[in-house]
Parts: sequence; structure tokens; C-alpha cells
Amino acid sequence: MSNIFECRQLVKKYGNLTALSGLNLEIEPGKIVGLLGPNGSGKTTLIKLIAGLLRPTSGRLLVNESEIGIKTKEIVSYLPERNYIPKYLKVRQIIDYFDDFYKDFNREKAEGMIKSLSIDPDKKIKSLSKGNLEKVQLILVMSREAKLYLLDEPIAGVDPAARDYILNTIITNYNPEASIIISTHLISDIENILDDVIMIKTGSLVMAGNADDIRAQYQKSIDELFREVFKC
Amino acid sequence: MLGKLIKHEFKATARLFIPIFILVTAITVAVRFLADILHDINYDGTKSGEIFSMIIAFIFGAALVIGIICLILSGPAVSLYRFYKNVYTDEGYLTNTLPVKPVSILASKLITGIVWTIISGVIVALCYCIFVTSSKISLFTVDYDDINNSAYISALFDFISDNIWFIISFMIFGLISVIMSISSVYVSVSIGNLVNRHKVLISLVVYFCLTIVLGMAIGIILVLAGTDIYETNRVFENTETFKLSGEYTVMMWVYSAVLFIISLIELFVTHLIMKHKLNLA
Repeated sequence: MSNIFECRQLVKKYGNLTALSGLNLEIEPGKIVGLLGPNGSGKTTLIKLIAGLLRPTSGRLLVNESEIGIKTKEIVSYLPERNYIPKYLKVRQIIDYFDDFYKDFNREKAEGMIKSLSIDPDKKIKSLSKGNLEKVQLILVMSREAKLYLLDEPIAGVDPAARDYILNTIITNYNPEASIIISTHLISDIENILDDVIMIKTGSLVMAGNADDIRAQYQKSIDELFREVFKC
Repeated sequence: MLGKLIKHEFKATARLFIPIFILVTAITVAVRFLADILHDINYDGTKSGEIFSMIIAFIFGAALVIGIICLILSGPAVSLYRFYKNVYTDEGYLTNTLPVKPVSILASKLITGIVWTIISGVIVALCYCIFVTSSKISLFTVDYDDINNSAYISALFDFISDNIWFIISFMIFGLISVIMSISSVYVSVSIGNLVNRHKVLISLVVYFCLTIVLGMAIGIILVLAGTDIYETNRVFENTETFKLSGEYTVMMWVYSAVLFIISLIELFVTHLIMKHKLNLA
């Protein structure tokens, strides 16, 4: 089976700062992958490169065997770490927007989830609470039947109840044949749902592999291992 | 996908343009009727009443002038705001991950910007028409007796038919000027995005430098092409029919061609940056 994502000798520099230095990775279809690392380790840079928001300085990056472009954007569903929906739009209008541009967007599913949260579709994005805004963004992303989901810090900055909702939405809504890359440093909350783990530090790979195998090898939870590896 | 991008671009920009159009038209209507009212008031020789009416007229007149200036500048200004916000800030996370080519994103914004700028021009003309229909405002008004005079209309048609090529070339020049004003904004914002800090400041510096350099370059090209306006000796070929000298038409075409080539280069550079140097750090 071909990889849904792979990169070879991937380097990204911002001026003199090297965010990623020669990264080699492969991700198979049907996996939930935790992209773990402390702040500034290069997690968001890697995700932005896959989403097509940044261009690599050097190296190769393939999604479903294609270079980053329209073909990959059609099958990648991306949740940034920030609020990216125009604030003047209503919830209904951003659903229209996704429906217009993404062939794999399931409108009924999105509207159903919005309704189940009792969010008024005619409410403007700017009037939503932080928790509800995070949920609306996640609903839009997870309502696509994509092949690769990129979730950048999906549970950061929300209360524990919202965190449960977000994780539950991820698990119950993703296409089982697709892969999910979840970037986070809040490992204990997501450890149980991860199939694979990728740990990066200052742009270099520290560890990558099956979560169960890593736990068995080190006799530690991923959270404990993370604290040990990235001890300050 | 281009059609969908244009549709959403119009929706997003309408909320900025429509209020400006309504506001300026409302101010024009208010000034026109206020001028009529003030004209008809009999002050009975009281100086204070006259001064008060002059102050009111001045305030509304100033509001109208500011409104018209805002209207004229609104095309490039909204294009700048929209392009920067929608491509290079947080909204860019949505725009740049859509499964569309960067050239489609650029084209949708350019087409929308051109259409709104043309509509702004139409609104300015409409405001002028509202203004001149007042028979009591001496400034800018035309004499209705003249308009009703068939000789006047005949002379007007003669002027248009004699100068049809100049009028067409002037309209094309106007359209290309709009394209260049928008493409200059796009390329400046895109170059500003290449740096990691002070992006807005760099964009502004690039815009002003570009305007000065291009202004000088265009002047030199026009002189070299032998179409310098100051060297044109005759304004009219025929002073009785007011047929403009053919040199003006040639000058318009050369000027339009130069601006068009510059616009294409600016759009090409903008596209290159969007496609290969996107830097949403």
C-alpha cells in the first residue's frame, strides 16, 4: 500500500533559522498519528508545508504520491492552530463556502453537527464563543471525506468538556481509510487514540513508530516518554 | 472554480463598497436639496442667518468632496485591504488551501476589483447628475436652455463623432489605468510578504518606490516614443469642430500599451510569489 504522506530530506528555513532540518518521514493510510514535540520544534511548519501554505527550502514532500498542489489540496483537510474563518461570515455562509469548493464536503453532516451543538446557523462567526468557534472549525474540517486530515493543536486553549467533544468528533467522523496527523503537546489527552507517534525536536526526528510498540519498548506511556525526552 | 471565487469575492467586497456608495449618494442628494432650500430662504437682510446657512453649506459641501474622494479611492483601497487580508493573513489559511490555482485566486480578485472601480466611477457620474439637476446651484451646472437647443446637441454629436477614436482610446486607457493601480497594489503586498517582519511597512515602501520609479520610467518611454504631450503643438486639428489632434490618440495608445505591459509584469511577479514563495509563517 502506498504512503499517504512522505517526505525526504525536508528542510525549511526562515532566514537564518532552521525550522526543519532534513526530515525523513512516511505515513500509511488509515492511521491516527500524533505529531509530538515542544513549542518551536517544527510541528506547525511541517503541517503548513503539507497544507501548501509554505514552500520547502529543499527536499521532497509527497501527499498520495503527488507534489503539493491542487491535487493534494483536494484530499487534504486542514485545521490550522488559529481562527481562519472570516469573522464577518455567518455559520451558514462558511458552510456554503466549503460546499462550493470541496467536492468531498458532506453538507448534511456539517449541518447536523452544528444543529446538535444548538449553534444558530445565522449567527456570525465573530459572535461565537472561543469554544464554539473551535468546534465549528473542526466540524467543517471533519465533514470532508478527505484522505489526510491535518489537525494543528486542535485541543489547545479549550476547556476539558470542549476537549472531549473535539476528540470524540475526530474519532467518530473521520474516514477510516484516511489518516489523521494531530499536532499537540497535550499528549495525555490524545494518547489513547494514537496509532503511531512522531516526535520531533528543533526540526529533527527524535522517534517515530507504532504507539503500542514504543510503549512496550520503553515500558512507559507516550506522555511519560515525552516528558523524559523533552525534559528542560 | 474561477466563477465560484468571483462569486465569493463579490459577496465579501460588497459589504465594503455598498455602504460607501449609499453614503456618498445620500450626501449628494442631501447637499442638492439643502442647496435648493438655502437658496430659497429669505433672510430679511439678517446677516447671522446668511452666515449660518453658509456654514451649513460648507459642512455639507466638504462632506460631499470627502465622500467623492473616498469613492474614487475606494477601488484600489479595498483591493489592497482585501488582497492583503484574504491572501496573506489568517484568512489566507483558508484561501491558500482551497483546491484552486493561485492564478485563479489572483484573477478573481483582479476582475472583482476592476468591476467595483468601474461601478465607483458610475456612482461618481450619478452624483454629478444629481447635483446638476438643481437649477439653483450655479457651480458645475449647465444651462438647460442650451441643452434644449438642437444646435447644442448637434455640436455635441459632431464632437463625439469627430473624436470617436480619441474617446475609445481614452476609455481603454482608463480601464488599463485601473488594472495597473490594482496590480501595483498586489505586487507591493506580495513583495512585503516575502520578509518575515514589518510586512505592511515593507509593502507600503515598495508601493511608493514602485509608483515613483514607474512614473519616471513611463515619462521617459513616452518621450522616447515621441509622444510627449508638451511637444504637441496643436491641440485641435480643426478649431471649428474641435477635432482633437491625432497625436493625442496615438499618445493614448502608446501610454495604454506601456501601462498594460507594466501591469502584466506586476501580475506575473505577484503570481510567482503566490505560487512559489508563499510565506504564511
